[in-house]
Amino acid sequence: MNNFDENNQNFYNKSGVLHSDDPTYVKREADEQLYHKLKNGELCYVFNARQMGKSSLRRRTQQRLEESGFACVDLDFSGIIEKNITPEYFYFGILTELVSGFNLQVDEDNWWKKHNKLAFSSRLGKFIQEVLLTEISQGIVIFFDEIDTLIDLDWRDDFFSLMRYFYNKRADNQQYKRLTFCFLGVMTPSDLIQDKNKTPFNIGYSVNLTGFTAEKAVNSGLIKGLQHKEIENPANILSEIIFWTGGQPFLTQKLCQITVNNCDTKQPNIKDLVDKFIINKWETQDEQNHLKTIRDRLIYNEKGAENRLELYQQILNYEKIDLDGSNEEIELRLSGLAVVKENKLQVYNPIYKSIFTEEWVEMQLDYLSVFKNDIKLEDLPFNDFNSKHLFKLWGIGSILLLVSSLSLLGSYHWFTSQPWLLRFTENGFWIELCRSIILITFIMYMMGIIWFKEFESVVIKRESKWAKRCFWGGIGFAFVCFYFMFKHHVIIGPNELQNKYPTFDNYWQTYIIPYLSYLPYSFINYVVMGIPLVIVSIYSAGEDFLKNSKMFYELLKRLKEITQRYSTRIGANISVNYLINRDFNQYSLTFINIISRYTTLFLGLEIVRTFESVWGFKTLSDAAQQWTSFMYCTTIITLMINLWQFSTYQKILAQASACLSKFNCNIQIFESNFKIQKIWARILNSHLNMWLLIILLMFNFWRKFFDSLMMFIN
Amino acid sequence: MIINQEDFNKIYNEIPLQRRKILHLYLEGYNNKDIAKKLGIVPNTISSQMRNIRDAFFNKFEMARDKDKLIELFLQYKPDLVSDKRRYEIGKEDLKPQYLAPLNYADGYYIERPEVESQCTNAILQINSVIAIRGSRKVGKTVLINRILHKLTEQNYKPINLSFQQFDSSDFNDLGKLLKNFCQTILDELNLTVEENLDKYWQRIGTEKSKCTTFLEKYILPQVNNLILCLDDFDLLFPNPETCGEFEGLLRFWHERKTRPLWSNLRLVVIYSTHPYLTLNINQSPLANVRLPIELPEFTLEEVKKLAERYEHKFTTQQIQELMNMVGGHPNLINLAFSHLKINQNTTVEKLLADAPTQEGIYGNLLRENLLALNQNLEVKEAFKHVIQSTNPISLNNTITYQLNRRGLVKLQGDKVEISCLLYRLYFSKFLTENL
Repeated sequence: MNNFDENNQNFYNKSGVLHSDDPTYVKREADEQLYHKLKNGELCYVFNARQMGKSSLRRRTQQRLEESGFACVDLDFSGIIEKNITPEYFYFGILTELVSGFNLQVDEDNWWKKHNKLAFSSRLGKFIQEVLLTEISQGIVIFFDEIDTLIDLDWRDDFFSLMRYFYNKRADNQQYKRLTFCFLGVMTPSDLIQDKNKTPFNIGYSVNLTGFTAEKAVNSGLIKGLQHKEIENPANILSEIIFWTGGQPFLTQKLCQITVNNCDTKQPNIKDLVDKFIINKWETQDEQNHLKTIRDRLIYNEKGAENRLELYQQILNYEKIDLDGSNEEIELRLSGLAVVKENKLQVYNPIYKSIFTEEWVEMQLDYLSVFKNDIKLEDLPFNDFNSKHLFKLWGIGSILLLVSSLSLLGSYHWFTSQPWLLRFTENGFWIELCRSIILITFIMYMMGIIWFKEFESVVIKRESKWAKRCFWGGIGFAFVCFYFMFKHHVIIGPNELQNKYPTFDNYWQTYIIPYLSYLPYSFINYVVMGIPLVIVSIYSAGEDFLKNSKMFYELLKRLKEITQRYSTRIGANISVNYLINRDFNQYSLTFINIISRYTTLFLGLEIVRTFESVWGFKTLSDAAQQWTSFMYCTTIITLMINLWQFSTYQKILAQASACLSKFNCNIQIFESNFKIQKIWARILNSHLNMWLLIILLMFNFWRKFFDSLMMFIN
Repeated sequence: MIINQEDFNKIYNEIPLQRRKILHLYLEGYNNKDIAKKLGIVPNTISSQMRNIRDAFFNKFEMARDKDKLIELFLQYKPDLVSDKRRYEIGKEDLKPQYLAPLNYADGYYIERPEVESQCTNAILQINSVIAIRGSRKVGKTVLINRILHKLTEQNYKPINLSFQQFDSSDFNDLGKLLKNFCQTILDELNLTVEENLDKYWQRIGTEKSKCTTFLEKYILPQVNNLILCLDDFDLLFPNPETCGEFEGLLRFWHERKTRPLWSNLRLVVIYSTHPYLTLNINQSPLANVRLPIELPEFTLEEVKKLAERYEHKFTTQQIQELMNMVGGHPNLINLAFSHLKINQNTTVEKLLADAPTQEGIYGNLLRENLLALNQNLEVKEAFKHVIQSTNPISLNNTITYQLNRRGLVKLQGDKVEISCLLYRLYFSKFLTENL
């Protein structure tokens, strides 16, 4: 069915696996190695990049082994494994493949059901032991191809330990010496190993698959197609082809085909052909996705992409670098882009070098850094927002409100006394209830929604040092606060009341009882709600400040990098302008995001302050008034930290424009886009809170102004 | 075979009563499941009955067998049976009959393209790859492959052409269902019977992929030698990248199995308009590794001239050149023009070309259909505007390129795209900008 006529348009197989008798197959060292090792019953594995001729090698070796009396089967995992595969289907799939591959006369369904008492992997083990090894009397080699598809399976270790089990069994049972395995795939042994004791790879033999060398190629069938075309000195041409492809099997075949199809002279110019048919517009010419696969392995897996690219950059810079056995190094080798020659890592061939150039790498690196700065969704406060959470908040709020109102009812109605009502007025109950409602709603909103994450990390998780300190500081503060509060409600408060309204005799009933029943209300306001608010707001301001400064240094580093990288390049100003604008935009967005979280806090505080100054202070004793002001002042810290952040912003803005001016970019547009007024305007525009806050501040200001005016007139 | 009114009536009247009921419900716009519910039978029966109906109308390899064609046929000969819903679906709501290309141009007006045909045949028979035939929409892929497959039947090959249109698109995100239907369709096409019921077979343990492979290996391949499995309209699978990836993996797997005697004579062909580049799973060898793509070109000047002769048109080379300037060598567009000129003897090429980029012209329906599609996707629309405005090829992102190319609106030039013909530039530069 295969037409191996040299006349054929497709003499060179440009795609896929070479047929076992394909004349263009080039024998490599690996051929002999793999064949002899397997023949001796050794466990082998061939781990290499795509399109390096693994499967062709497998076919060849399989055929040779079969010719020398072995029974072989190739088991391609890609035909078994699919999404969400269960262990049972997996092992049964292998069993089915073995039955079909060795033509065993077994009804696999019944066999599988019959042994349903065994674990799945043991069932396969039993099958190999009882059926395979008894039915087939000669040596058995099983090739496991496309082993990289196993990488997503969490329980893959079981499979490998089964393989290892067969190997270990060899010591006690001669039977098992007949059975050997070969693994092929694009991966590193460390990708497959989860548990070092279960892996068969440390007992196996690794077959190193290299590219073609010029001598090997010239002495193979590869040259026949060129000879047929009456090309002068085909051996030289083939060596030149090998130079360009570095002996990469797929590219070599492809380039040979291109040469044969497109040469009209006796001395084809290989360089031109490479330029025209491979490098030029490679994205569209790359029908078999050879180059695209390399690109994908390099960059699509974001994790480590930067390291891979940087290592590749180093290779480009120094031509050859020493091996260090790092993950990136192995990944580069597996992508096929780099190869080890004479113990140095280098780019596989000149074709790759001219496609994945230094500029290409830098472009990729620039794009990658966008991902790093991206605002992630989980940073937003509404991430784990659900109705259950809302109900919890609502419930806690109602309980607090209930307790507060009971406590107020006690002091204003049930156990009240004349002096109490005189001191705190008749309407005191309603005013204090109002305060309670405002405070509870405000704090539930802040703690439960806006700052829920911070609240969680300070009060519930307490993982970081900072959170711990804040928590214990808060507890200490709460004790101090409670001590003073208790003293005030039992001793100082009643005494003051008596000094003011001394005409009543029953000290206990008139002065102390109302105060005692008022105690829960104070406790809720100051200890339960006030202290967490203060602590959490300081904590989160600190956290955000740290985050901001981290971003600040990152951006600074990036600016330096850009300056260094582009300073020698002509016409770099467009890309520099683009990059800086993009990154700065990212930064300013995050910055606004951070700052705007506090607008709600300040608005809430301003509402409380307005309330107190208009109605509330009358209902508070002098000490309580001082305490309230003190609590209020602590949140000033938050405000100060926030203002501080603006100064960092200013600094980085100056740095960025300096960097831009170095490259003769338009600074005016940049500065007008990102100047601090603009940032303020953006915060204002996107937050109703800020407008409300301003209106309230104005209201308070004018009220005060009129009050003092009236005083002055009077 | 050319269908005329008389033949049509004859075939229609020969359809048994039960099957006709199904046909009527289908034309009214019910889907297979609803029909099954209404008549109280299994959905699978409905699809096989529909297949029988299509077979009755379109002789096995002579015609594209998609569902739309059946509706078009009824629109022409028994329009009262077709509901508005169906008309709307195929974009021929207010269809003017004379603007329809003759359904059977595939036979009478087919232009042999010996080079392309032999290239494909050789590739299928000789090259050890999965053959991928590509060509933009309505470029004549199905007709071509059907002709090739028809010829191959004479040489003792067993070709089957499975169009993904035959499958319910709701099954495309369910690999198991799709593969089961796939096996069922192969059985139907080959008229094979299997001792084990397929439904029952599918309940056994094993992954969907290995069930499908084992099914082929146990029941189909031993009975059929020299099977050619041709998968038409493979595009339909692309919107479901996961299923598509698994399916392509399976094709590659089957291809790799050719070392085994049973599989060695299986040939795989896929047909699609354009392949999106998907990064699916880097831990699996891609199908592209073993795929040999063959591009189906548009008509050349010579071929258009030949076609004009078939229609008995006497055009000057310049007229043909002008026509080709407008619509390129796109077989469907050229055919539409020629058949229109044949029916309306008094119109001229010049008049036709002047009206072409308008709603009223002969391409009105086609253009409107594309306009509708473009309006549904703002991103694609914006990108397409850039394509229209630019005189040089421009580069777009992968998905957009794929979508435009699929509709035949753009041509690929390296990794960039340009508008495929003047007709589209003239029409869309007017209507896309107006629509804003």
